Amino acid sequence: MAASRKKKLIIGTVSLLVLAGIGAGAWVYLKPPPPPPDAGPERTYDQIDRKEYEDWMRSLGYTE
Amino acid sequence: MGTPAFFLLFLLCLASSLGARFGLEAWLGAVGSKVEAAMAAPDSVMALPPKPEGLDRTEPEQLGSSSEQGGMGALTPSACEKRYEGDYRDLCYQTAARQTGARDPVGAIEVCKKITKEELMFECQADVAEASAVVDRSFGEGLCPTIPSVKWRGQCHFGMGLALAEVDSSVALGMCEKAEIFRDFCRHDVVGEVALVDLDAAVAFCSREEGDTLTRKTCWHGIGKYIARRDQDEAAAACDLATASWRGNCYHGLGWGSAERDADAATAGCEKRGIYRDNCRQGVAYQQLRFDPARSVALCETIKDDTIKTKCLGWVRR
Repeated sequence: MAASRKKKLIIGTVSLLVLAGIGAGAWVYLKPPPPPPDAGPERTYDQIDRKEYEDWMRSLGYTE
Repeated sequence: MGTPAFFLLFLLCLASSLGARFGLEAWLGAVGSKVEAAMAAPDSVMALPPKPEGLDRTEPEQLGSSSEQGGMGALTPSACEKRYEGDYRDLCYQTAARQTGARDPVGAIEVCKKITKEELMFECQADVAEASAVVDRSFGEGLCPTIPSVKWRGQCHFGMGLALAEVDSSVALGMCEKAEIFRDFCRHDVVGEVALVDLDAAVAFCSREEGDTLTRKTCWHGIGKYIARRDQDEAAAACDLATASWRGNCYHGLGWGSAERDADAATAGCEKRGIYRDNCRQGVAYQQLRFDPARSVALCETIKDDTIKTKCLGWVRR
């Protein structure tokens, strides 16, 4: 009786652990990416990545 | 027996909690991001390019000037209030403020304050600073720093810099230092404007080689582009004064600037540019990209230098 109870507990626990693992996996996979720091035109000059800035300048005819 | 059973029960509760927590978060995150994506219009990180000359300069006639507004195309705040509602009224106020900004900046700012949309109100303030700069730059110098938006504070200084370029180039370039995200755009344009009236001053400024590579090379680009809008040969003579490392960038500006007037003539002119022929063609190709992407690709294909050709094709095909 005790062995059967123990077996049921183990099966239940393992099942729930699997469920928790699936949940955690889903969370990691589906979690939306964090917004880039200081995104938007309200950034100051120093907050803009230079590569991004150069592409912006290039698209508007300000550099090669 | 008691201890393992308790331990298993504890694990069971822990697993349930973790499963519920992560599962719920994943579900809410996925649903939330879908809702946000559906509701929010895609917004570029760089939402505001510098205001090109001539853009968004709504003339009073377009807003319905008539004899009741004075008969001379002038708008008054009361006419705006009477004739328009909502966004149109805001635009009317902006236009009215811009019209009076040079002769009555204080009154124009009062008109700006009537604008309900904050962004437009900041733009209106920047416009007034720009309009009044040539008459009394101290007004804009006091106003621009008070604009709470970084973007419009920068635009305000950028506009003042452009307005003052032919009046006092050193003050104008000083404005660029406060133009925030528009700093290098401002330097490029102000130097370009200065080059049209005082090439020596523009060359002397760029020759100081201030800042990083991008800041330095774009300085020369401005000289090439602005002068080429007037005359490509004249621009080539100016580009030959550039620091050797950035001369190619100046010729790129030359190609772009001359293509704004006539892309065919610009392309033909590039053939006279010797070792900078390809930089010139690249400039024409980039300028044409908005209007005729296929032509841009074709122009890049004619570039002989492999490095420039690869870069050119990579950009126009991106």
